[in-house]
Amino acid sequence: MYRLAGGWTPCPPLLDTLSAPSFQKELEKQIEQGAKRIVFDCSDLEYVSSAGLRSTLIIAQKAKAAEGRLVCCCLRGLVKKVFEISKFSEIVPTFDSLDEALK
Amino acid sequence: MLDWFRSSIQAKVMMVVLLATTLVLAFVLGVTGIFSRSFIVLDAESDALRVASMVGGRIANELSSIAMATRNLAYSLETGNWDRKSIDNLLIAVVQRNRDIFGSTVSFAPFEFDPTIKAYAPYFYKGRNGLVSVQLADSYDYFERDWFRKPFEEKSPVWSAPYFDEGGGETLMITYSCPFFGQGAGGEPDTVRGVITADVSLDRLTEMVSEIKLEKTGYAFLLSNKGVLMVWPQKELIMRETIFSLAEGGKDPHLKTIAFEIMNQEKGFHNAGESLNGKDSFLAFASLPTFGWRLGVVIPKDELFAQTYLLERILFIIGFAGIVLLLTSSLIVARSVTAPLKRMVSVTSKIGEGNFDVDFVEKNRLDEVGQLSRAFESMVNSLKKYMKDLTQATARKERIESELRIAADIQKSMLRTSFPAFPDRDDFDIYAMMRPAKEVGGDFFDFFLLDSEHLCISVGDVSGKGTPAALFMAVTKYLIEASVGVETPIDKTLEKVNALLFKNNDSCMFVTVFLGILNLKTGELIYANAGHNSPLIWTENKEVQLLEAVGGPILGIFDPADFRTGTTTLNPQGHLLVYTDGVTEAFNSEGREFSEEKLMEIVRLIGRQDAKSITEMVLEQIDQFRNDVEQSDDITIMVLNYTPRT
Repeated sequence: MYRLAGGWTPCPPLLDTLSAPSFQKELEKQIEQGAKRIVFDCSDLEYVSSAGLRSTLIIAQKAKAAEGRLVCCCLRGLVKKVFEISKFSEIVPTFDSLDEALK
Repeated sequence: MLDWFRSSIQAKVMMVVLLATTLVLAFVLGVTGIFSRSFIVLDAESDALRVASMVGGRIANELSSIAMATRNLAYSLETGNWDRKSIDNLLIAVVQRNRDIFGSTVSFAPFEFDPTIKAYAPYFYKGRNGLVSVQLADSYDYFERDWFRKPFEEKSPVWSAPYFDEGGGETLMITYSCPFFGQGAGGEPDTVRGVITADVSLDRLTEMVSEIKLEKTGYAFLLSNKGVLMVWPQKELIMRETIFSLAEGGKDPHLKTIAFEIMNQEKGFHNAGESLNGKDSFLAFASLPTFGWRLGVVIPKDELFAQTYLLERILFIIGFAGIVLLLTSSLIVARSVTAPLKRMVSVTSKIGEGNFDVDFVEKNRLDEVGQLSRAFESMVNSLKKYMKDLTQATARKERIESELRIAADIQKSMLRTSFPAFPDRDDFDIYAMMRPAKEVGGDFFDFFLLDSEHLCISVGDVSGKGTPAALFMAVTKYLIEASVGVETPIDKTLEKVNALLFKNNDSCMFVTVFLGILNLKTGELIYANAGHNSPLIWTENKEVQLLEAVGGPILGIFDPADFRTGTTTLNPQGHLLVYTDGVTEAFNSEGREFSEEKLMEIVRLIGRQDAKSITEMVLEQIDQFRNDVEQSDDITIMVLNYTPRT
């Protein structure tokens, strides 16, 4: 899930070509409405494909453009591995727990 | 016939209306027929019985008055002195004054008139030219005659049976004989001194019967108490037959029954069939009091029912007209439904041929047909529009598909497909394939000799799949090919490629790449892994290993990005398998992925084969694993066998 300065929105357990676009649109809307700090809680995220990664990148970019930022936390399993291999953490900072991410 | 019925609403309507109205008509006719007939019969019965009783009663009354008058005469003969003259005068008066009395006699019992005269019986009757006087004692022995003997012996008056007169005329007669009493010649009191008779002509009375007319040809008959025909339509049978002999003579057993009915009952009303007069008739009869004669009335049924026939005929005509009217009107109504329906059917077939220009004339009606017409019209219009849109969409789709097919062909030709790629080299064997998930894919592979000693290999995976990825993939492949060089360090190559990809990348496309250069003389492999799956490296009978991930981040996103190179050595008879995540992330129907571990296991089991065989076997395993699940990502496999001459 990701948390805005304000509300929660659930993140699907699967972020792939099918689910990524609607997820991306939702977050873009939130940014337009003024969300600045987005925390991407990946505790439920089981799998992410390259399309999902791309959507995340786009959101990170848009957040940055709106003078906010996107961070991730609670990555596990395959997703964690993917993020490490692709060095995603350099674009989207990752944390181990929600508390740390909120700081 | 059945087909016509089933295939036409009009037929159904017609059948139903026809059936229903016919049933109703038949029922009404039947009921009215039955009821009116029974009323008529009841009426006729009471009428006929009344007539029979009435006429019969009158006859009996008239005869009774004659009987009474004769009795009075007998009483007067019992007192006073009667001589020849006075008796004659009496008789003359009786005969003359009574139009119904044909003749009369005072016949004395033996020696009662005059002790010296045995028989004395003066008789006067109406002759043709006047009264005629006859002395019965002269002509026959009257003592033995019934008309004398009966009242004499029984000491009471008696009517005779009817008979024809002996005068030669065909007059039906009946005689009343009444005894008169007195002191007998021998001195006994209360003896029958003689008998006074009145011969009554039944002409007038029978005429009464003959005059009875009911309906048109209904008539009456008269039977004596023994069944002798007294008044009968066939005059020649009168007095010559009884109703029983008629029954015997005829071949009609029903007549016998009727005869019994008539003679054994006081009155009755029966269905006589054709037995009496040849026409189906009713019979009503009543018995005459005193005489027990039977007066019967015969009424032909058809005449009786003449009026009902008329009524029935009228009803039938009305009913028939009604049926025709109902049939016609229901047909008209049915047609107002079926005609539009038929039109709609023909419209539908026109539409089937592609002709959408149709007009629904009934659409202005307010009833269900109008509703249907309007709904149909709007449907046809929607269909028209839909067809148009569909045609356009199909055309567009076909254009896109044909373009995609061309694109797929172009992409295929970008990737090397002629194998063996280096037939003149026996120190290495390389094989590769890319199978896109859609028409075009986002994976690429490349290999080429930088010089006779250096082989460059690359495998890449663009984010996503399909046309966008394919475009990016083409760019990346050619950028790498253009940038790589024997003297150029690999990390620098990737830095350059990354920088170029980063430019103008608003859509955040990225690509993972494995890039390596193999020194064919030494077996040294210098490589860099930019976010890509670690290739498999193994030698015969040794463990399959993953090549250590040294390199940098995914290309196109990070600016600037740092890259490093790694090195390893391929042993002789060593193998390298580079792949994209479409291999390890192939899903089966349970949602489990192929996985790195399985790939390594399979490679170990395959053992020593040429590059092509290894690739094909791995692909086969992947396809088996997938079963029939759709391929979710582009699959790329490259196998390199290092087989230097030692």
